[in-house]
Formats: sequence, C-alpha cells, structure tokens
Amino acid sequence: MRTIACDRCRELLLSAEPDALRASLDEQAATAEADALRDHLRTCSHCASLAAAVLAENAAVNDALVQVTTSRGQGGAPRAAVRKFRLPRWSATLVPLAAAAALLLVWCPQAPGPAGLPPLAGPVEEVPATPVVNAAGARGVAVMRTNDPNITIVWTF
Amino acid sequence: MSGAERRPELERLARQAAGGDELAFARLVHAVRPRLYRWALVQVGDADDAEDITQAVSLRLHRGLAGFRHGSALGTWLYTLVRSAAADWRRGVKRRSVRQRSYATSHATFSAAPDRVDDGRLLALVRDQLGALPARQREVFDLAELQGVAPGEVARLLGLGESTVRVHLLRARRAIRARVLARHGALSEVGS
Repeated sequence: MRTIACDRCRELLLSAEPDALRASLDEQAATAEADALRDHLRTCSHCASLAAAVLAENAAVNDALVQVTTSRGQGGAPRAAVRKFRLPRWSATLVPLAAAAALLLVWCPQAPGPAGLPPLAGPVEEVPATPVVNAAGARGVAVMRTNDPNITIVWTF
Repeated sequence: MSGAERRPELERLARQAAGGDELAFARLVHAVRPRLYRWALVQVGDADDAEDITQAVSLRLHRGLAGFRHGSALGTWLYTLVRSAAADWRRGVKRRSVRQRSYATSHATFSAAPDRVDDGRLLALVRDQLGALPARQREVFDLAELQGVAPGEVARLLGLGESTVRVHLLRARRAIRARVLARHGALSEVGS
C-alpha cells in the first residue's frame, strides 16, 4: 500500500529527522509523517535504498570524524613526527639578510675599512693553502677558496 | 560516560584548575581535547590546523580559567574559545594568501604524510560532505545531525536562537541529502 508517492517520499527524505528515517526503515514509525514514510518505504525498494543511503552517508561522515579525532585529537605526541614545517613570515626576509651579513663579515677583513676608520682586521697576507678552522661545539664549518687569493669564504653553521 | 554525566566532573576539574591545580588542568585538557579537536576540525577542515587550534585553545583555557565564571556552562565557553581560535586561524590563512590554503584545498597536506593516508581518505570524505556548507551550517550539522546534540543545546553552544539553529540544520540537511540523492540518480525526481 503506497500512502504517498515517490516524489513526496523524496521530499521527506531531504528533511526528515534521522531518528524518523531510522524508525521508518525499522518499521517503528511513530509520527503521522513517519508512518506515511514507513508505508511507502515498505513497498518501494528504490526509495528505501535512498533512505538507507542518506543514513549511511551521515554514519560514514560521523565515523570519519570520530576516527580522525581518535587518532589525532588525543594528544600532541604523534604530531611532532609529521608536523608541517612552517617558517615564520619574517624568515623570508631575515634569513637571506643574515646569510648576506655572514658573507660580508667573512669578506670584510680583506676589504679596507671606511674612510677614517681602521679595517675590522689586519690584511690577510698569509693564508695557508688549506686553512684550518675549528668550530666551537657541534657547529659545522665550510671553507671555500676563491680565484682571488685574498678572498676565502668561511661558513659556520 | 556520557557528556551530560561528565559535566559535573569537568566543572569540578575546571574549578580545581582555576585554583592552580596543574594536575586538574591536565586532566581537564585530556578530557575535553577530543571534543575541542573535532569542533576545530569541522571548522577548518585540516587535521594539522585543527591540532594547532586545539593547542591554542588549551593555552587560552589555561589563561582564562581564573576569570571563568563557574556558574556558566563550561561547554559553551570552550566552544567560544574554539571558534575564536578558528577565526584567528582564518585571519592567518588570509595573511598567508600566497599559500592559498583553504577548506577546499588543504587536503594536499595529506599526500606528504604517508602514515596519515588513512586520515587523508577520511578527511576527504568529511570535506566532500561538509566542505560545501557555510561555516555556521557545518557547525550546526555536525553538532545536531551527526552528534545528536539537541537543537536547544546547540543554540546555547553557538549563542543562537533555537529557531535559527533549526533553520541552519534544515538547510544543511537538505543540501547534503540532495547530493546523496543526486548520486543515486533521484535528484531530478525531487521537487525542490
């Protein structure tokens, strides 16, 4: 017995409370609207499959949220392993500037100081063929010779 | 233990934490963190950003507990903190507009994290369902439709009228279900 038509049933499927949908599918409807829905779903397999799909979709989204929340929302421990690395905004400007300043500091000892000021260090006249640089602590050092015998670049990092 | 049963326990922890009990604060955060995370996740749609927001809310919770009026609902206050932190996050996204991170595009995050592929699949499903909804409808749909929170309670959490909540819920429900019906070839037959 079809008390409502398919198009009315689908209208109800768009707006019915999930509990009413479940009750209709379980044949436990209580309200008049749910009763009509239940009667239609009992006899129309296509509409019944649509009602089941609506409920299944809700359940799938809720399950997904629960699972993600369970796996990632419990605490901070796992996040460190795959945390997205984000440089702060100022780093885009300051990091190149700092690198340039470091290069300048290495180069400056060979350059004459500004007028009226002594150079930052004396002229380097005897640079050994293979300069030895000891870095403090766990820092690393890269030494780069250039074509100019007066310029050697030392990079500590 | 249900949310309603836990409420007195959470409020007791909040009181103790406000009095400087760090252990109570840790317990409180442990208890509410999953809820904060889910709220944040529904708001921003990105798992990592939801973690950031949850972390920020934990800090705000710590700072704000002393000023919290314990007669008012803790859940409402927590939800306010999450929404505020999510709003800050959105402003941050706008500032980082070069990266074009949005609810719709942030799924690229998961392709770079092989051990989170499954999370990526699940979140893609969530985004597919909720991503097209306006933020307010998304919040209401998650709370009322998916979690089964009564519209009156949702209204209190969101600071809205109950009838407004019902309107948001109905619109969200229709939008999502219309897509489900369309996938099953039934949309054209629905007179909406």
